[in-house]
Amino acid sequence: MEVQQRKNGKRLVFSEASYHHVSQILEELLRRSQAQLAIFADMNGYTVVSRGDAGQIDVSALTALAAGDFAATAELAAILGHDGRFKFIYHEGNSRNLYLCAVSDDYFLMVIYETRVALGIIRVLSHYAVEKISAHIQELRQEGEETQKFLDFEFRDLLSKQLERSLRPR
Amino acid sequence: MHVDWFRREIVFKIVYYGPGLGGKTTNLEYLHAHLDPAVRGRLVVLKSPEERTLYFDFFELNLGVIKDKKPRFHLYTIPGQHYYAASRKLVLRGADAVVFVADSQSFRMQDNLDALMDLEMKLIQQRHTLARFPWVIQYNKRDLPDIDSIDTMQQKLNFLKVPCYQAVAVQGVAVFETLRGVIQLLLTKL
Repeated sequence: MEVQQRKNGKRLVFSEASYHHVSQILEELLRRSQAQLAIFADMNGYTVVSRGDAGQIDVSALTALAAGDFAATAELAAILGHDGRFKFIYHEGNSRNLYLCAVSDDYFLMVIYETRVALGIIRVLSHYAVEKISAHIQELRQEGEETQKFLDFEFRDLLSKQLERSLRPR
Repeated sequence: MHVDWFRREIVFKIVYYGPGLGGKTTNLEYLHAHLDPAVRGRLVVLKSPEERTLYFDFFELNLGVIKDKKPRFHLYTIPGQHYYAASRKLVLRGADAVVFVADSQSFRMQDNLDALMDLEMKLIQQRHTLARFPWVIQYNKRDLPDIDSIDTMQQKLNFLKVPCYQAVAVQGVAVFETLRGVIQLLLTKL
């Protein structure tokens, strides 16, 4: 079982071990920080690993918006003459806060936590998590064969038929 | 495309591209309003105070479980105005297929051409090109007066002979057909 990402037209792969390792890093972050939800995602807006209590939160929409957040602030950074994007983005709410930090050019970590939790704790523990995840990102390798296994002819045929049934106006 | 073997999910990114005020958001809004709620996620619309798309619009289409796998589609629009080039670059990043929504009104032809050229430039930056990328054209606003003929639009915009659809997005005409078409095309290219 593998998690695959496409980078610059090439498919990259998380090994199953890496997937579980990132999950453990996020769970440790949640346990130590008392945060509600931690998401490791890519800058294309895909959720790679999500841990914690999502509740009614639409994680897919949240991740897409967070990726957009990074892109917008990258332009702010460029206008201000910075090379690259800001490393951290912080949003403070009435009951919950959102902390985003870039893991690399291609990935980011998002932490959602209640306002009773101190920002300093989140920052320090997120920093540790990012360091650990970064080490594992180096293990990504180019791959293509596994995707073909996933997208076999029968699956594509069934998906095609399902699309014809589901994509109709109510 | 994002394949998650652990959760048995495969996620595709479909982007609606085209000139400003061409009907990209209208397509997404119509789809969202008329899809079975069981297969669609939350519609995210980021509009400026003038009701123009600021970053993007987005929702997720979830087709349940097929052969022990969970296919999902992320549908995005881009902001059409020329000054949101950075947002367009972001949204197009990692896209698996594109719907180019062209405005059929004659006076918008140059805007259509500019947007198509912009799309090609951004695809090239991502090591793709229109000639080898899954995309379709939707000729929108076919109900309005002073529109170009389909032959004219085909000649000027569809030089690669990709699938095309004549639409009135605000009425839902060819909106679902366009989405089915681009996804079916994508599936043949995998």
